[in-house]
Amino acid sequence: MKLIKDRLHPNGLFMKMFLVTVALIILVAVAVTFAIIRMAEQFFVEKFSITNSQIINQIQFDFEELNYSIVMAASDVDQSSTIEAFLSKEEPDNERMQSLFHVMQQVDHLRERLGDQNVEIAIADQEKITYTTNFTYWPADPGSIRGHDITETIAEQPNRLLYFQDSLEANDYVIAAKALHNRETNQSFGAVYFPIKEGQLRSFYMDYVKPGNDFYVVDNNGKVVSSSSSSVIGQSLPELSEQAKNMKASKETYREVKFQDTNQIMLAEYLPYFDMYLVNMVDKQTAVGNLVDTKQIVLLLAGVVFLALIIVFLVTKRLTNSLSKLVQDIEAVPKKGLQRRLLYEGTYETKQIGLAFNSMMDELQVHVEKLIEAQKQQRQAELAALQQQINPHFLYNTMASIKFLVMMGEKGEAERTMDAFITLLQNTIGNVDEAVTVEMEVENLKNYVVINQKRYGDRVQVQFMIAPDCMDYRIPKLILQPFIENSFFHAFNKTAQGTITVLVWCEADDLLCEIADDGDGMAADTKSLPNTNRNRQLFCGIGVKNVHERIQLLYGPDYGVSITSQEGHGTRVKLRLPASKESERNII
Amino acid sequence: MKRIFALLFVGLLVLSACSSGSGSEADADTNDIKVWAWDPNFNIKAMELAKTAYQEENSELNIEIIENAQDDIIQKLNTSLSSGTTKGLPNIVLIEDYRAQSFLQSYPDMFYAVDDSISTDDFAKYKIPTTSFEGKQYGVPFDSGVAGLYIRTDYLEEAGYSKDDLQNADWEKVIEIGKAVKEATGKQMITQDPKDLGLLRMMIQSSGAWYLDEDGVTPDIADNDALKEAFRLYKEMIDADLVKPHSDWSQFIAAINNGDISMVPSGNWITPSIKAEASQSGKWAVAPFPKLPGIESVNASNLGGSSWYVLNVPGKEKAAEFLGQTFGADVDYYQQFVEEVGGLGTYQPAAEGEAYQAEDEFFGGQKILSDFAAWTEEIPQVNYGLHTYVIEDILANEIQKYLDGEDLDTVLENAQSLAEQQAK
Repeated sequence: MKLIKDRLHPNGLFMKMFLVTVALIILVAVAVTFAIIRMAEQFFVEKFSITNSQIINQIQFDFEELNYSIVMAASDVDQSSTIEAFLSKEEPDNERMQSLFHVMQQVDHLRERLGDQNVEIAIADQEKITYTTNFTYWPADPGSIRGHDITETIAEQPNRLLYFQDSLEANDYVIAAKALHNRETNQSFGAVYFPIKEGQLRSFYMDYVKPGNDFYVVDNNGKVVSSSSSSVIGQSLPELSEQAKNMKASKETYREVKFQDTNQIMLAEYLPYFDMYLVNMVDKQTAVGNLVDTKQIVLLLAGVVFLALIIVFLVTKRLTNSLSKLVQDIEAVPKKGLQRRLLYEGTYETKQIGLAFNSMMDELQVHVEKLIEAQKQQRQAELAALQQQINPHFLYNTMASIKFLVMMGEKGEAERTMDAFITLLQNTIGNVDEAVTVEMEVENLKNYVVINQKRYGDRVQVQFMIAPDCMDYRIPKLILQPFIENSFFHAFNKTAQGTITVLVWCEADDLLCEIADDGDGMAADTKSLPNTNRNRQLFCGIGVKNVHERIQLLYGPDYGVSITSQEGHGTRVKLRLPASKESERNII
Repeated sequence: MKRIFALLFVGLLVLSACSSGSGSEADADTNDIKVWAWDPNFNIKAMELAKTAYQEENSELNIEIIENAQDDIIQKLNTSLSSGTTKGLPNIVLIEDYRAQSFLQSYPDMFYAVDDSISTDDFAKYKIPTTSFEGKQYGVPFDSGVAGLYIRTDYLEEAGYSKDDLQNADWEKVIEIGKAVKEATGKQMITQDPKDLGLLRMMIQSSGAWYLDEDGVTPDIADNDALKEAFRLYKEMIDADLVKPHSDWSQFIAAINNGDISMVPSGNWITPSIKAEASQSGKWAVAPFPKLPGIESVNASNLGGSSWYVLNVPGKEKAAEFLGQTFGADVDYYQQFVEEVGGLGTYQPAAEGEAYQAEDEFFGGQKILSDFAAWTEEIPQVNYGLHTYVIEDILANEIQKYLDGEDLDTVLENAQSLAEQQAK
């Protein structure tokens, strides 16, 4: 629980890494998507324009073929003497009847040669149209050509076949026209017209027309001659011809333009004989819009991002997991002691950190252990040194007392004292490290008391009150002896005689020892115990004073010595020790 | 991408195959009747009237009238029928009488006989051979192409003639009057398209002759006296400079309306075009078609005219019934047809209707419809056969040689052999 909370901490590594990664993934995904869509569009438009320019070339070819047919027919009309005679000569109707027939036959023949090009032929003299191969196809009023733009324009350019846009009775036409000339006299005698229904031109490209894919044939001034969107035929769209001109000038295959308020891909080809431009307009939305399925892309994107998020979440979690566990472990180290080691797992880095931490901890522990060992050894050396210094005066005095008893003939007494002395020496000169049972310590004390009483008389009695359940507990050897010694030599200077009481009992897990006397007591201001005369002490190194320090060193601050004393009422020394039956060496 | 298109294409094919498959099942008793016809002012209008009349009582029938150019109809029919399919074809189609036999003889199975829907006795007799084949009646005779000689009475009067001089007249008489009128007014007699031999057709049919034998197949040109006479008269008119050439319909109408000519020998369907020039009201009359001189012939002939045919496609019974109930039975319908379209049917009982008795002020109060109806009954029956226009192209060519001075018999023999080669 804490782990999660830590992880969601806004400044936590996990949150930071996660959010940054998420942001980056989304950024990259969106950027790549846009780039790809753009590239796809570009690619499509490129491909598309290639296909469409092939189509346009095909259409252009059809247009040129149409033009070629018309040019051939026009030239045949131009060179026909029958037609020239018919158009230029005045003749009586009965002759005209025949020449008209021949002209009709000739023109019909030319019309047949045009084949399935849905084009009709009309010939006209200076005044009016004299014959049309199909009047229903192009019901032009015969006299209407007089003064017409077409007639005037072709008269100015007599050797060229020109194309014009024209409308008649709700039908749109493209009319190819050429003035007819007598080569010798250079006199114009009429004109030939080739009306082409707009639908015929449209049929060239109608197969390729789709919604959003429109074709326009515009003349040089932008007048729409033919178009798949019939509403604009005859209208002027100069922007188309302008764009087309620019495109041809700069040799562009296609360009993207805004036309009729939509974005269009424009392809154009010049139809030189017609002096017109074939323009293909592709609505970009229709062409490319469907290329990209926005819904699908968004779904895919969302899916990929979601998948990436899950992976990122898991990986980040794994990464930060080991790290935050490491952090936690490190935090816990002071509480749990030097023994604690980290489980190093996860990534290389965290493993290395764990390893380094652990080896540091190892070294630290080794170091601390060494230090403790050194201290212990030092203290043991100290204690050993102290204990081995059995006061020679004590030995000398005790021996003197025993010699005196022997001299007095008190053999029994002397023997008892001798036994006590032997036992005392036996127990004390041994290893000072050893903890001894309360029973053994009390035994030592009793021997000591016996010796002292032999030397100094019976005026100080010693009573032992030991709780039986405490007999087996172990305490540092000779821990109580200095206090009894102290009472012997200092508590009864003023008081002639008295009693020293030794009490041992258990209280919870503690072992309590009390040495109480009813001697002189001490003044309130001098709470420390006086130093014993060196000559009377059993050991010259061990004093009452450093017992307290020794206990604390061994067992900690909870334990130690406390002294209560009142002048004239005796002194009470209380030792608090842990109740323990262990006898290991290191307890000391 | 190509693959996708290919798939789509295949898909479409499959779909269309399915739809057409299931469609023909459903078509078995369809209520959708399609009609193809040309000329919106005449044929289409006539059909619209019939549709309205019929739907008053048979509202469930859905008649769709589609306008197509005559050439397109012929082309589509030929294309479809020759490939043995009726897909995309209408239920009812209008066919010109001159062309009818070529369809009936080539594809008799593709047409549905209407014997049960009409009574052939009710129609002008000359219509029957051309609309029937091997004893079965396929066509419902529609408009009459009954011919008449439209004349400018004012021009005739200037030359001292009246329309009475043209009653039961022959062509010699007509040419005589034409010459006189030209002298008096400077106006030529008729206008003629050198490629269009309609005039010759009218002339020979008045004597019961045609380009072909009665079998409708064998060319009958070299020994055709009527044709020979017609050629002679044609040349006579041209040599006398009585003919004004025109090259197309507009020039034809212009010549009439401009008052350039004094006579128009033509089918009755020209009436609306003549009446279009309202300023000439009262200056026109219609005389019976002239006879051929020296040959057995009548003062009646025909030019053009067409009939309705039912194609052998689903819905044929209903289509035939529709035609029978209207064009084959409804006198009131023909009254409307006369009044609103100005057209003349070939359904004889209709001729007794009131509308036929109307006097036309444009024609000086003449009851032209009644006259036409009377002449219709007299039109000699001929078998137009298969090759009217093929032979006419040959003749149009050959007649020029004759006009140039070649011997008439040689010219006709030449035409005969050409026709035998081309028209089989």
